Amino acid sequence: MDTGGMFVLDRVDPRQGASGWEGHLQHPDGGTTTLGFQVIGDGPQPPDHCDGLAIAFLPLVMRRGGGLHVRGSLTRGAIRNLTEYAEAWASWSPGGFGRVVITADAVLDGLRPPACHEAVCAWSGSLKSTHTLVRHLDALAPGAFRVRAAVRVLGLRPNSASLSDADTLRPSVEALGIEGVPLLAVRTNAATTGAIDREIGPLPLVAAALHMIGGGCSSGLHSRSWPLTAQLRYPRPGVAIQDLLCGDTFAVRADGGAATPPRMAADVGRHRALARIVSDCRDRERHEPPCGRCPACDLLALAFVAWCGDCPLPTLRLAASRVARLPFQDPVVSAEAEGILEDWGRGPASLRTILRLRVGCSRLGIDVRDHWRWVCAALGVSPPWPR
Amino acid sequence: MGVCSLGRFSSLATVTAMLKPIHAWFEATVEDGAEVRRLILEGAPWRRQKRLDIWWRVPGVTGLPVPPVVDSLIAGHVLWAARLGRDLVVHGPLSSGGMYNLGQLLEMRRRWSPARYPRVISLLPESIVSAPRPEGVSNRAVAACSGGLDSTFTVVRHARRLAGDASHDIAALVIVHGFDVRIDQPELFAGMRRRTEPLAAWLGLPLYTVVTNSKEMAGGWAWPHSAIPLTAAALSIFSGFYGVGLVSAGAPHGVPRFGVSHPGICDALLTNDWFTVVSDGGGFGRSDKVETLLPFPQAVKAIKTCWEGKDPARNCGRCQKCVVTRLNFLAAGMPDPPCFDTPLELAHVTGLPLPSMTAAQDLFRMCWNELASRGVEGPIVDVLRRRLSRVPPDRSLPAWWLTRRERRLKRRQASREQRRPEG
Repeated sequence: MDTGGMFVLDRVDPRQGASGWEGHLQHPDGGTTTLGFQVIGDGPQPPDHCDGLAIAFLPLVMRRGGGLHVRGSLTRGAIRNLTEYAEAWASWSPGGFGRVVITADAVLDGLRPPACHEAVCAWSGSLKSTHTLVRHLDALAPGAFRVRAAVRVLGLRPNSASLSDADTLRPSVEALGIEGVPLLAVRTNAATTGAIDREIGPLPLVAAALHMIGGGCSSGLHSRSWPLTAQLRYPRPGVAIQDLLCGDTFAVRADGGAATPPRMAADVGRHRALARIVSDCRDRERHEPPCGRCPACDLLALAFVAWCGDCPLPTLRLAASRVARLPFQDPVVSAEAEGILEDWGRGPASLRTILRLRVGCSRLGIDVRDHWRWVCAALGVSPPWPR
Repeated sequence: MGVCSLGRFSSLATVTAMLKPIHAWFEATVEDGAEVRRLILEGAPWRRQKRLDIWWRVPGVTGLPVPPVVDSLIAGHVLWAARLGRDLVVHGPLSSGGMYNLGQLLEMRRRWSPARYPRVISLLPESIVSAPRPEGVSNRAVAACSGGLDSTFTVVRHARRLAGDASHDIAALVIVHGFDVRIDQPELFAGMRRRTEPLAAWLGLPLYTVVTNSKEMAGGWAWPHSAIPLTAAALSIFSGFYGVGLVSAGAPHGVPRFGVSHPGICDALLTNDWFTVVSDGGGFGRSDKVETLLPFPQAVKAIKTCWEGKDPARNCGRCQKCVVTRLNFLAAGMPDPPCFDTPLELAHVTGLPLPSMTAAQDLFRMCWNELASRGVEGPIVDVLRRRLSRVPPDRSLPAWWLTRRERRLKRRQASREQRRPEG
């Protein structure tokens, strides 16, 4: 890996009349990447320092390693956190990422977050992010934050520009309006500029948007995307890393992850308007009705059915054959299915039996695989690790 | 969810006991020229005592400001209360950020180890306050320094500013008497401290001792999960002066040690509005840490990783931790490091007890991978490869039988300890 180059990040004023952030990253080889975040409608002004902007560009720099100089100011906490973030990924995948030495024109010391326990909440419309939102709205989490606004980031998928922003956001604005939560929307060009890392995912971009729009709050919350139980068998560095996409004035916090899908469905189900627009669909945008055919849709329907025997989403209809065909080789599916089985409520016994059989077969399959690898390692056919 | 299945607990009496909360009070005094902090816990018997008097003493130091919130001291015993399944009533202020973090910690631990933590307990503080540190004051750090490889790496890295602008400004080091060495063995602790003193002197930092019975008084019951919470509690004694407590990460990010030890994701949740706990070094493997320390012979000589040997001032060289560390040095190109008295022998590797993958995971993830990635070869590596190749999967018959026997022995020992009167 080339680790000698220095990337330089410039913050530029957004286009006329727009509110937001825009940055140019100059690569050591002379190339440039431009990334913008634009607030749709009214929203707080971005902070003066560049913590969030540096977070957005960091994965691009980590892919090559080396140095990142920010022409602007960074808080000391952001430099520390982002340095460790890069170290963590470089340690996990030395061939894929490199360590990054971060410098800035000005390093701000002694700054503190606002002394309020308020947060903006990243909300994609998935079950997990909706659960994060409602567990703070309903104070279900100990020390719950007061939610100042929900934040939707648009432009994280290549085809997300097909509808106008107003059409896209209308159902969400209406559902959140019933709960008394304003929706702040941010549009980014990240998907078209290749700024979303295939391994790290969109989290740094979401974190950057939270930094930009979270003025006056101490924290921005996002839901943990990887189930905690899946981490035990299928470790991923992203979820194992503590909240490092933070600066001294604003913290981006991973929230939840401990509740099982039926528990989430139960908590979300109390908010009928929100429950009706929840979507985990992998094939369609979150603002569109879920396809009802992908495994994510099946798991979402199963979570609601397991809890109360019914699914509030009209487009999701669950059949026993679909439960029997869930792809358990996907660790997320496996972990979510086990979580659903663990917390089965008033759902039909037939579905529960099928799910139990699938989980049992999956565990047996893992045991057989482990024994096969053991035998191969003991006979010297394969190396002792990975097992 | 929310309704406990009785089958998970031993008896109805256990479930009834869970309904009774534990009450916690906090005191700050000066005794015999030493600053003392006390946490009084009532409502859960421990070794036949109804009232637990947990204290932290800083010999030779007075005038430490009392923090405005008690989050850090409570955090050390939250997991103990969670193991008992009892809610914790705190007769003192907690910060709102601390409440949120501790709540997350309890939820995570319960999710990963449901057999160990029967329910997510509630924290019921007298008041929830905002306790921000004053604006404009530089956040200097106090670092835990047990003398092990991880903590030595952390203090050297930051004190020598090897992390550049990302370095923390370390103001003091703290060594705890009461964790690796029992509090009734001061002479053994003195030996351990003597080993670390040259490192502190070389770095030009004061080395404070915190003596505490927090591990012996119930805190150790949730060990190793409670290791960093109890360490952070000891560091927080200095939180009036220093806003950051620096602890070293036990394992690199991404290794599946959740539910077993203390991943950085849990350690960071010990932060509250007043005192920030930073888990450092999770982006480095153990051999990476050794390589970083190689240019500093003073630091390498002071490393003491062993916790099983009889003398806490020396590395026994034979236990699993010692062998892992020796192999880390081997991977870094130093087969015979000065912190061990004898050279590494084949017998040390062949003597490792490896009944299952769980028992061997440290060797795999923090040792074998690093040897393999550096292309280290030799008779010791060959022996290790053979040993690791034969480790059975966790859910195999031999592993099941061996670990069940080990668990039974541990449970008996824990139950004897629970019943044993103090002294």
